Amino acid sequence: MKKKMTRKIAVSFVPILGGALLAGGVFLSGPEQVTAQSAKPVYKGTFYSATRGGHMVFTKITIDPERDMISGSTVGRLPMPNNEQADALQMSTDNKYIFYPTWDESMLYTIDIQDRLNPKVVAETKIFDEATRHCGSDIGADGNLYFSSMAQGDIHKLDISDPLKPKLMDRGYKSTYLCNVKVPGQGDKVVTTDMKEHKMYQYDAKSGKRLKELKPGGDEFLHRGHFSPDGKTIYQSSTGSLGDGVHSGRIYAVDTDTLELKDTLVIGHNYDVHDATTTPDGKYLIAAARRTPAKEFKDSEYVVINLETKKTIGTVSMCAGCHGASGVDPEVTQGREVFICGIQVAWE
Amino acid sequence: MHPLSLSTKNLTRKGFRSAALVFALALVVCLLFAGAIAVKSVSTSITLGAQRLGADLMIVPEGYEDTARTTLIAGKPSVFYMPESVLDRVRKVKGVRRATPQLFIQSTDFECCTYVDVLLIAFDQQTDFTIGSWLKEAIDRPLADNETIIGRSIPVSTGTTMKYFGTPLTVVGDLATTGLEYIDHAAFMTMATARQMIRNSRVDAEQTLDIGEDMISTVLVQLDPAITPERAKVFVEYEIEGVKALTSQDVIGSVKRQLQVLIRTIGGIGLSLWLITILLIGIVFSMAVNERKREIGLLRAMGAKRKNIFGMITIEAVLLSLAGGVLGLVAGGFLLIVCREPMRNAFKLPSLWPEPMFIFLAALFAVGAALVSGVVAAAWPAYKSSRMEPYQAIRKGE
Amino acid sequence: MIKITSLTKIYRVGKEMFKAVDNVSLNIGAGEIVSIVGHSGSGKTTLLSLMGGLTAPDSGSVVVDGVNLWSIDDDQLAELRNSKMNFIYQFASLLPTLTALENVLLPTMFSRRKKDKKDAARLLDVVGLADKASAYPAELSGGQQRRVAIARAFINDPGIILADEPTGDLDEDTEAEIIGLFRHMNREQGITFVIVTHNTALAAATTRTYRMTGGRIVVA
Repeated sequence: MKKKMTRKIAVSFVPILGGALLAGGVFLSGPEQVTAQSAKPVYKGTFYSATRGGHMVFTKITIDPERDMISGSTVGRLPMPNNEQADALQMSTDNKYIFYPTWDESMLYTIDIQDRLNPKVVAETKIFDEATRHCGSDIGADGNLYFSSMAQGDIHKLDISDPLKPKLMDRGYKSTYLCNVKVPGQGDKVVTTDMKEHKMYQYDAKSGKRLKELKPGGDEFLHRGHFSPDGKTIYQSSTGSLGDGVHSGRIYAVDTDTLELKDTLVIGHNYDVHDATTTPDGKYLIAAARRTPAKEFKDSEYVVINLETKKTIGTVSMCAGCHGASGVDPEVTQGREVFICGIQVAWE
Repeated sequence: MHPLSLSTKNLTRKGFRSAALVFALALVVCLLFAGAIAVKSVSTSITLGAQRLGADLMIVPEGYEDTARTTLIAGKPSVFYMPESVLDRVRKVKGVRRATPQLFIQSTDFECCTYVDVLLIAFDQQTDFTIGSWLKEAIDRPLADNETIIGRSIPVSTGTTMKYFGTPLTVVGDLATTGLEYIDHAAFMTMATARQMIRNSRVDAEQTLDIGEDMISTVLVQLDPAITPERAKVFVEYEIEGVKALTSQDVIGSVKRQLQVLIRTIGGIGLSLWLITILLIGIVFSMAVNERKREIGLLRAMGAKRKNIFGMITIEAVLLSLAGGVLGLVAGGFLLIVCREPMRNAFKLPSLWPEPMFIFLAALFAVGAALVSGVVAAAWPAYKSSRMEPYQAIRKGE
Repeated sequence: MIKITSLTKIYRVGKEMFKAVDNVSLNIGAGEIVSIVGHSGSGKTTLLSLMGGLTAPDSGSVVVDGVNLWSIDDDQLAELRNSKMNFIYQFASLLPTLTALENVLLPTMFSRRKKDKKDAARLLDVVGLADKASAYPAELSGGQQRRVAIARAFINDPGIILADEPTGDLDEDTEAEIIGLFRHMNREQGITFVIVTHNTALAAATTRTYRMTGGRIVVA
């Protein structure tokens, strides 16, 4: 019975993978032609996201500034052992590995992504006996990996000099329910967000003392975020309003150094934003946005915004499309829901 | 005639009903009281266990974390070893203020004239910061070689010489009862004595101790107050391969989790019982007041004021509650005495009674809770009956 | 002593309204023995309860010893009932958990007057039940219970006794005894009696008789 089911699922994925290959083919030929005709660069990258569905998802996306539009290939998935769910993921600085920490099991999986569309788990490390629920992630100038723990309320610093044997080396910057963690510049400061306190905090890395704090909006969940390419801005994702199940998801542009709010980009109602990253030149912003009400949509999208015009140029469905194609209708339950959280991009 | 006697006579008139209410209240009080004492006993034991350890971290070989926990909490003798070099490395870890080694040797019951299940603990007198204070209380001088100071549960008097692994140990004193099996069943000696014991066991004992010269069982660590034990644990485990650092939270964590379940269960049952009892008292008092409408009307006609009627019914509730409370306390106390052993075994804990003040407060709270429930439940019927028009009360009571 | 002016009491049964006491005015002087007679449902008992301040009228007033019963608060009214008047009922009105003596003492529980067991025993003696002081109501006959209730009515030395069918259900001998007792107390202590009855013998023994029909005094 189980075997049959596995086969069924496997078969249902064949057309998707086929589509992916086909789309990949289009990518291989298409963008070159575009670059030949245009002075503007075309951004191509493989996007990886952590999900609550027990798998890491990935897709190839092309952003074409000439036509101000995007195109995405079919979504692929890497099932995690024991169907473990996750929010955080972090790519190594050499773009060879993704560190993928799971929620309650507190495993840290090292995923080899050198073959971009064929990622493989190459190492498993148990980092805690208790639940961590890692949310945010970053790699500091010191080369160490930082994860923020919602469940334990502090930042965990790991030595990844051997990516296959990550080792916990320090912890700190405690508050209540941490999500984002960013280690700017040379690593003399650490920026975190707390979902329950609805604030961003900046700490002195040496003393661990809190230097600054910012409440950029109302009582909302500040999720993950990324630096702008120059490191001067943190694009901080947020649910926007809370409570009624319909959000007004937004991204705050926050000055890394002064922790002052510089700009607010509202993605819109029915979106709850979990992460935001930019193209290498900082011209486009890509948000991982969950559609809400969650029970209605059961989907997350990559929403691409032109940062000059502040306009959304396109979206790519990361959950519902794939689930629909494979005939999966996941149940939305407490603690086990349908959405993607962290984004990591291997740009070409 | 005193108004109180009117209330008591009313209660005795419906003896069975009053007894049922007293019983229901007694059940709630019994549960609340016994539950509070039980939870506090367990929690006191484990907190004390962690405090007695006197260290912020206990470093043990990797893989022996659970064994070490059992040893500390349940006092179950067990041994594990790691190289002494760990000690120096621990001392270099950021945040470590003091570190001292201990070596555990499990006594054997094969050898003649020794005592079963004694954990022999060797400690380093130069660096020790955990046993010293107890030692000071007991003999007020350093321990010499071939001397031992023993836990209270070892049935040997001072001056006796015991022989372990071919090594004589003279008992020079005993420690006060700690309630912790780990300490109460241990015999402490110097590190030099332990090393000699290992050597002796190879030539002069029925069983050889297979412990290397440079082995220790654990390193106890005192930290710089600026560093939390949780953080120092990460440092130690990151810097030193093959060891695990236990914080007191680690040690008591598993018991605490069990305790949470116990608290939730007792709390849940207690709360539901409490609510049911309040409801029950409310219903019974409403019924009683209804039955006694004419009587209340007559009393009003005789000149009883509203407050007299309200007081009479409230006093009935208070008397019932007090009776239930006292009975519940007695039952709770009895339950605690009967369940002490099973609880001890379930939690693998020395079961220490909480301080008398806590017991007193718990009793006060439990009786108070009964009193409040009685008064709250009877308040509405009492109020209603006091507001009845005397003539209507007399007529409707016909 | 008791001055009743335009007293009306209306009962509402569903949507129906009916006047239990309809515009009654009368004066009862100190030391009188007054009887109110009439058929069942004529409003006698309601009128008695209004006099005793046990129920509030819809209109009109009751003034006892110069005090308008419905112009004082509930506590003062209770005190007034306790000190100035007492009631005797037709039904068993003893508390079953108390002895005869304790029942007699009951009104003193709410009183400032100092009365003790001796006073109660003396009253039990007056009603001829000296030997039943420690008996419980269940151990007494109907007549004996009524006599205990009468003894109780006198314990606080009230100026007024309001009696509702005090001899109802009793045999003729007991009835005669009670009538005699009332006359005795009236003579000795000047107590005013207002007696609701449909017993002609009892009515004949009073100084004045009012007849009620449909809530109104028809014959004075």
